[in-house]
Amino acid sequence: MSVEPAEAYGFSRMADLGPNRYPQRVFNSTPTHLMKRAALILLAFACSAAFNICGADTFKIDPVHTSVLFSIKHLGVTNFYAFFKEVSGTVTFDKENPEKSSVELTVPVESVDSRNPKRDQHLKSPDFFNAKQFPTLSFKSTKVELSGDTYKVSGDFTLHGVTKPITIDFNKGPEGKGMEGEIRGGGETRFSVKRSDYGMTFMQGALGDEVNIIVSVEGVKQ
Amino acid sequence: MYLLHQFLPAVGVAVVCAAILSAVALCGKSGSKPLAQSACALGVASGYFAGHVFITGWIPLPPTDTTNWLPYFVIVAVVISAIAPLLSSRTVRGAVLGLICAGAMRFLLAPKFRYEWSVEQGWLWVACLGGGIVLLTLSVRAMARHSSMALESPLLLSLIAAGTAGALMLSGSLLLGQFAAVLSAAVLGTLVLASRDRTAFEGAATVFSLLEGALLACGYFFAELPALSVLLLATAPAVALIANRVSAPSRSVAARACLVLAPTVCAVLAAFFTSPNHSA
Repeated sequence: MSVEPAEAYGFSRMADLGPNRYPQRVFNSTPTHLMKRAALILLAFACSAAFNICGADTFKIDPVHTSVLFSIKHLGVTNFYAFFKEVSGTVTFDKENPEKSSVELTVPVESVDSRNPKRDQHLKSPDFFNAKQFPTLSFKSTKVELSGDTYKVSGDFTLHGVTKPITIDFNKGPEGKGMEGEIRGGGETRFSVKRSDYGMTFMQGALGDEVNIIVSVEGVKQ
Repeated sequence: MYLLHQFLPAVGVAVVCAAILSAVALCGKSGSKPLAQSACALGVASGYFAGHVFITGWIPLPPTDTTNWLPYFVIVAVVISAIAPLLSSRTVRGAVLGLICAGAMRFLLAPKFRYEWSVEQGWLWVACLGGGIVLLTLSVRAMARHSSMALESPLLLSLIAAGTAGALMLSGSLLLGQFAAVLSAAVLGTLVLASRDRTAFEGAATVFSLLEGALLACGYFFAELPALSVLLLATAPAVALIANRVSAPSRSVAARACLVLAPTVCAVLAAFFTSPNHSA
């Protein structure tokens, strides 16, 4: 590897320096100018830090540490639980202005897991989720407001091809550091919907109409 | 037991509706072949429409779930059945039927166009399915025309629809199975009419074929109905035509029944063996 002369980078030999002995190509300023420049740089840092504190943080959903579960009454006896193995989306969180926060979540229906292949097939069939016709269920917020310790998130919930507005209570958890130093944030919400409102009317009676949904999200700060 | 509670009311509604319309037609001008055929088409259509709506409730237009296009297809099929005799050329009749069936498949399979297929791939499927339904209609019509006994065609076609119901239920969709059971019941409801005119079911060929074809397509594309079951059930009426060569009427009926029963049972078995194991 060849070493290029210092001149190539704009450094002058000391002999070429001017009477004030500051290399012209490197600093090209007097001490006053230098002070001003340093002050500007510091100001820029301060502004960017302030922006980070006041601005919205975007968290990309980590599917490995996010759970989407649902339960439904079976034969009126007890609640049966199942979950979705995959989930994606983003949560934008603005501490100072909660109304500027937003949530977008998408769950592929094909990833439903009830711990029984036959039942999974039935859940994905036209009898229930109808996965081939409606491959995803989703939530997109339209309004976020802080109410005490919880956030009231209003938005459009789409299930079985039908979109309806709902409002959920979101309990935000504290932020933490991940294994690679990344900042993680999340929270949990529990809400209920009537499946008949979304056109899922099959086997009413044997299976309850009310579906309880638990969404526990964890995201990585972007 | 629960399944019976779920199935029987809709099936009952379909039989009763189809039977009432058939009986009303019987009170009309007797001996009129076109009238009997139109009444048969109307009987199957109304029976299916009532049964389907009984299961799902009133369906908004356009329906969110494309399977719910089926009751609307029934109306279109009745109109085609009424118009078809007015078209003199057999080719024109076939072309019109093919276009309408392809259009129906386009509506039915809209989610495949949206999420899976390219435009070319989608239209190729739709054209093939449209053509397939035309062939099914022709074979059902031929089966009805060559039936030796009065109740033969409705009984055999009801058997095919019942086999479709069984295969669909085994393929993971009780709902689609229930729709097929409703079709089977609606066909049985026209037995009253078929007892008077053995070729009356010729008029209901379009209604039956469009519904049967649409249910098989739903089962294959939206549930897990195996392709083998689809082929066996779709070709069962055509296979039954082999028995036309048998001259003795009683033997021909027996042969036709066997030829329909064999592919239908095989289709149900294929669905059973390809369904995921319950204990897995």
